[in-house]
Amino acid sequence: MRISGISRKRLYYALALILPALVLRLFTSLYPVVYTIYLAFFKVNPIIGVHTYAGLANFQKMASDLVVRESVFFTVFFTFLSIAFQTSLGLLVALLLNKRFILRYFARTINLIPWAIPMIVVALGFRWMFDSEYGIITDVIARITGFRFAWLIHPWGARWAIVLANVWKNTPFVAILFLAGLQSIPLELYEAARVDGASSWHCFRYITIPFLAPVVMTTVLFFTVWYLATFDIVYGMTGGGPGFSTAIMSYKIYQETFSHMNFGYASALSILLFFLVGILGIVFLLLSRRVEILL
Amino acid sequence: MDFEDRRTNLLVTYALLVLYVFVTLFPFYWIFISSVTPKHKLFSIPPLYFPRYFTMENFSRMINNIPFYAYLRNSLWFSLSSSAISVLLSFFAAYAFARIRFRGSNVLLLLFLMSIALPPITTVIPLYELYGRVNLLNKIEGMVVAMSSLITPFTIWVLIAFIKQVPVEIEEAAAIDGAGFFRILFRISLPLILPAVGTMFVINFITSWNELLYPLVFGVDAKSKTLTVGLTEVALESTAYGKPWDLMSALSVVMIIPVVVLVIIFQRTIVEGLTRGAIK
Repeated sequence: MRISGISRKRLYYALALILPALVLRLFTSLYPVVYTIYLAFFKVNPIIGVHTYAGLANFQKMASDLVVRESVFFTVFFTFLSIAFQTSLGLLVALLLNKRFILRYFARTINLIPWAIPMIVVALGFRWMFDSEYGIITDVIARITGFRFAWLIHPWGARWAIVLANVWKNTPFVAILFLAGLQSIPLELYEAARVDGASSWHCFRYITIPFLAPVVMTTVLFFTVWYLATFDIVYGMTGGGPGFSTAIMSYKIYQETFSHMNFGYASALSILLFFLVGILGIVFLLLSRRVEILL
Repeated sequence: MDFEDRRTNLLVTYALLVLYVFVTLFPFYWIFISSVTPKHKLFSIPPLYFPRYFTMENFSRMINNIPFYAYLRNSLWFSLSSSAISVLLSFFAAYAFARIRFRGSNVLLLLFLMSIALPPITTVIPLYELYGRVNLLNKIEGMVVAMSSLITPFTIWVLIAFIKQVPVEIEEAAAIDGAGFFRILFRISLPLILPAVGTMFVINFITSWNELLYPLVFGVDAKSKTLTVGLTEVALESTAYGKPWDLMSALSVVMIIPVVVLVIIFQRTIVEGLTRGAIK
């Protein structure tokens, strides 16, 4: 509304309305971040009652911890591959569902169902399907290729199985977002291009892609940040194994916290995770600006 | 040639769609089939592709095996409260962001949105210690505080978009008629965007229903565990065949049914709410 004599009063109203959400948010974000940074310089174990200043010891330990290297690698591997697959497959599904056909409504409802179910159910369900003896996926692949593969017992098998299960769960959701993006493109543009004699490929390249790009960018950024914090699927599907091959960052932090009660070290690892999110976030923002210029 | 082209096109489209629907639904089929197959038939090599036996025994054993009704009650209480609190606080904040311009409001909103990037696991230790001191561990209330906070930024973002769609003239007219600020907020604005608030309530309910991390770390004893934690607990048991997949698939089916029902009922509005965040 227009600025007037009562604008000061409205400012107070605005602050009063935002305050509850802000307090709640600060309590569970700013406070933990500050306290985590503090704890990272301490050796803390609540079980035996240790709480002593440790300087950079936690960070030195982190630098020489081989599991941390494995963990950072898998976190990036998981994030990058999941996003690559779900973005390309999601685009394909969205283009398919954007066509006119019978049962379109049915197919769109199906899109929402994997999004709506608990990730832990997906994780354990896929663990069951990838089971080396009784698993249905293992059996189907063995029948087709004649080669029986113990997915979750082999490090690379486990890494790929987690990515596959994750892509299965999130591709339909990505397709929903892309489909909404496709439907926001004005049809007149395609009609006008057709009249001017543009081919299907040209329409796709010069209308669909540029119009869809912002939605794709937003989706990729959102998922990058979200996937770097993945926990449930690893907790349910592999428990970080075999060995430490799938100990994604959040899982490693969880283990240090609740299995080893190493609160200080877990806090140092949390700081590493902040940096990972920050760095990849910034890299992505720079890349997306590049891509937008290319389009 | 054009006709032939179209036909192959259509054929490819349908083939891909059938494949997509099959791949998407297959895990549901498999979990469901597993839940109604007798235990001694479940562990067959090779696995039985089509159900030949039917039993509800897995469900009754699952219910006796864990404090099922307590977990169900906790899950409902946790999800309903987290959803209600986040939607209420988000509505207030979103209204302020959408309707009142003040210096720094954009920065403040940006900070809210950027806080989505904070990995939940990194907030666990400080909250765990604090909850231990104020006696909130093993209490649903503590989990609700963390959970409702987690989903608040996205809820604010979506509700802002919905509020901005409502013409401001309606509120201005009411103001000219002498209605006070909060009267306008509750009597005029809230009813107008109630459908969007309801949508966000359903979306947040589903998100909370599915949440594992917070209930897992803040609720250690049986009286505060949710169904998601219960499922991981059953998964820790082992039998002669490995994991008790009979019980796990039965519990999974019970956890899937409520959200699938919600999705079928509210399909259209859920999609609208979810896509509003990504497409302006």
